[in-house]
Amino acid sequence: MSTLALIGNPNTGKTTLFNALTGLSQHVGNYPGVTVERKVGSLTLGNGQRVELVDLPGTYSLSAHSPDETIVVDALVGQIGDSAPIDAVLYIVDATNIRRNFYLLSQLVESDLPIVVALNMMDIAQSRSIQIDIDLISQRLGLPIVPLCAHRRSGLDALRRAVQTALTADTAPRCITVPTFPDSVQEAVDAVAAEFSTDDRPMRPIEALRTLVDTGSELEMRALNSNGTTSPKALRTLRERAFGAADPADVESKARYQWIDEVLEGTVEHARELDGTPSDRIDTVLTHRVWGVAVFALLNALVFQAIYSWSGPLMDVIDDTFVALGESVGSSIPAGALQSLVVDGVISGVGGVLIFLPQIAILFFCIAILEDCGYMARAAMLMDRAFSRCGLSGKSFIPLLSGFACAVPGIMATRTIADRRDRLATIMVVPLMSCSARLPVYILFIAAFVPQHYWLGGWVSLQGLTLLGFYTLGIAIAIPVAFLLKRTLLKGQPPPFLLELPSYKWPDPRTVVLRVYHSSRDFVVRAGSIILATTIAMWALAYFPREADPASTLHVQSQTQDGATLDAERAAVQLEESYLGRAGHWIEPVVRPLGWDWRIGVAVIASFPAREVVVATLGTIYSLGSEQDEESEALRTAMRRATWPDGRPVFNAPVALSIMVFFALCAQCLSTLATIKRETGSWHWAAFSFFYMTGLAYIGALLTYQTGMALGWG
Amino acid sequence: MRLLLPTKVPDTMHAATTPSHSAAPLSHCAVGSQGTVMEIAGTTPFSARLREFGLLPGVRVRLLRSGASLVVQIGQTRLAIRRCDAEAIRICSDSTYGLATAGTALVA
Repeated sequence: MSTLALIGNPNTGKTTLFNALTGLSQHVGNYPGVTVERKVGSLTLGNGQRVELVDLPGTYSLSAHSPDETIVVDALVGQIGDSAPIDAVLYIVDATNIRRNFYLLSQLVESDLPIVVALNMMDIAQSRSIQIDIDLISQRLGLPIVPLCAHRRSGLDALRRAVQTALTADTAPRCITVPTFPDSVQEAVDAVAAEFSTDDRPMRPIEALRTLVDTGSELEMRALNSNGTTSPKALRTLRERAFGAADPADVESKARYQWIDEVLEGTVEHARELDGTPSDRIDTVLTHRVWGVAVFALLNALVFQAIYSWSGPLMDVIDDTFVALGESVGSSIPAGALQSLVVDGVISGVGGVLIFLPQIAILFFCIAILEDCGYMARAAMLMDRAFSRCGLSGKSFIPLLSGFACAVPGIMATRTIADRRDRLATIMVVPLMSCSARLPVYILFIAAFVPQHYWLGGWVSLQGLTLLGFYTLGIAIAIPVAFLLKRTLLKGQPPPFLLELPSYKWPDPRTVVLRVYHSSRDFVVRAGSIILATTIAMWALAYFPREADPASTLHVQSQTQDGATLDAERAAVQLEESYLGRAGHWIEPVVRPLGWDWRIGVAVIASFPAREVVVATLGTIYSLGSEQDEESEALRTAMRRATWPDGRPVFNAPVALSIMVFFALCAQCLSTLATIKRETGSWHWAAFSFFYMTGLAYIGALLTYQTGMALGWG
Repeated sequence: MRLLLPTKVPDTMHAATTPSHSAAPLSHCAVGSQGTVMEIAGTTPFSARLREFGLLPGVRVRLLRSGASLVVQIGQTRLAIRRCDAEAIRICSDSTYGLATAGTALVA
């Protein structure tokens, strides 16, 4: 199967085009042989040929300063693991910004691959009276240019035909013009290529140019490491011979823009240059020093309101479904270990997690809309000032915001940060953002233990404010952590901040829906795999060893008048004597100062693979140990009824707050730790985040409980 | 109808060779003012990035926002940069009134 790479600048509608071409066939995997993420989908051409479309990260150029750009260069020269080389490039261009978009094209044409240019956002170009002589540009380049509106799905058939032509060997288009560099540069590129080529792998000119120009980049280091014979000094000499005293980047950009201006001369006409657009008028409010910040705060409040209030009806439907399922399954399986496994373990465990699907979908929906309409870049700019105070930049904003949905995409979003120390500091604090997996924990405890008070006619509630407080807690802790990291382990100047503010546009419904779909699917898959497995393991540890015959228990229950009480006592005793109970009593001294009983302690430890497991484990533990009457099916009721041996209730407000603080700060997520390992290239940073976060979580929970009790909230 | 492409600027206009006394850092320009880029100081990855975005001597720019972060328009691109980083970009403003005095610019 042929491989087509989708390349382009950020904010050109690349994701929209990828979704339009591949639909639901897309998936995220790794490059074979290496752990670099790879987003692929399959594209069917007019002749029925299927092509693999690889979505490469959006970049402005190939200068390999950030990991994203390195990935694009590696993909172009076929250097990522054992993956199949790219057969052709689909290059997407924003029709309203052709000149700048052609910078990356000027680099791609040096790769010798067939290129199809997709000229996107033609509708916006037309509405701004931008006239483009597509045929003339295409003729000068020798490449096909297909006008499109990806969000309206128009032009896609012509694009598929152009791709088909590009993938056929004898019709493949070749660019007939490339930027010209001074002879000294050309010679140095050849010298670098000769120097670093090995028998099994020749260095391509495109890679040699980057090694020559991008001083201090990863490609340079890799080239020097791959070949022990060339000293950094030799490379420096080559550089001096090529560029003399001039700045290599300056020479490169001048040569490229000269080429661009030659190719585009007389082909693009604007009604007015540097004219105000509707986006500029919106920005006078949204990036205003006072109004902009006010709107930012309001939007945040709205998102939390949406998550907390609007998800109610949907959650009730899921809850009722699982209760009904538990009842019908419970009555159709004979009492015993199997019934307990299915009803107490699987249904109450996994159901307890799945019930939070509506909230996660709403959160991703809000983030997808804000990102797709172009607001996120503005928010990053507004936040830059605050971020620079703790040594980071506004570039860390989008990774941290994604962290509110899930730390894994948040950590991967740091690839756009060029500065290594900045990127590491951001990775270390992303897991402190309250991800969607914490939401089930917060919601469960807030609903059960925070009183319902309403103000302002029901628009502001104490429960909603508590939730907002926990989201704020993560941010409040992240600030000093980033500050300290940037002054100790990752010492360095705050790097410069440079961010494009794209034009505002209506969010593309398909892009938003697909984003929500993929995130929700990931959540359900997690619930069905890691959470299910942990839940079953916890159930087994809590159920065995079993002394009494469950059948005789049932017999006693049906005959004795006070059977219910007797049964509950028996269940509680059995739970305490189970493997889990014995382990729990062993760790109780450690968790006692946090106000937790042994059951909470084991539930927290069991949720090491994923935070939301704690809800499932508490569900399993409390349904095993609680009375099995009709009203106790809801976990929160079971928790409210739980008591210490002396009869005091286990759960009160300080205990609930202490658990929530622990989960706000802890690093209980295997996928996050694995992603940190993958993105930083070592277990050190993964271990570091685990230990510092667990330490913070314990101290935070301890302070919360002790303060709460001292204030008499218990 | 005007051409999008920046008009070719005579070499004498490049500030590197003939510093103009009317050139001022971008951070000193007033919001809404337009001008021509004269020079981008420095050979850092940051200045290289600016050049990739087309911020080269001779290009016309407009300042859209001032404050802790500036927003500058180059062609159809809007770039947000910090005030301190914008010091490196020297602009020859179209109107002398477009140049705010250093005092008022620093208030922000």
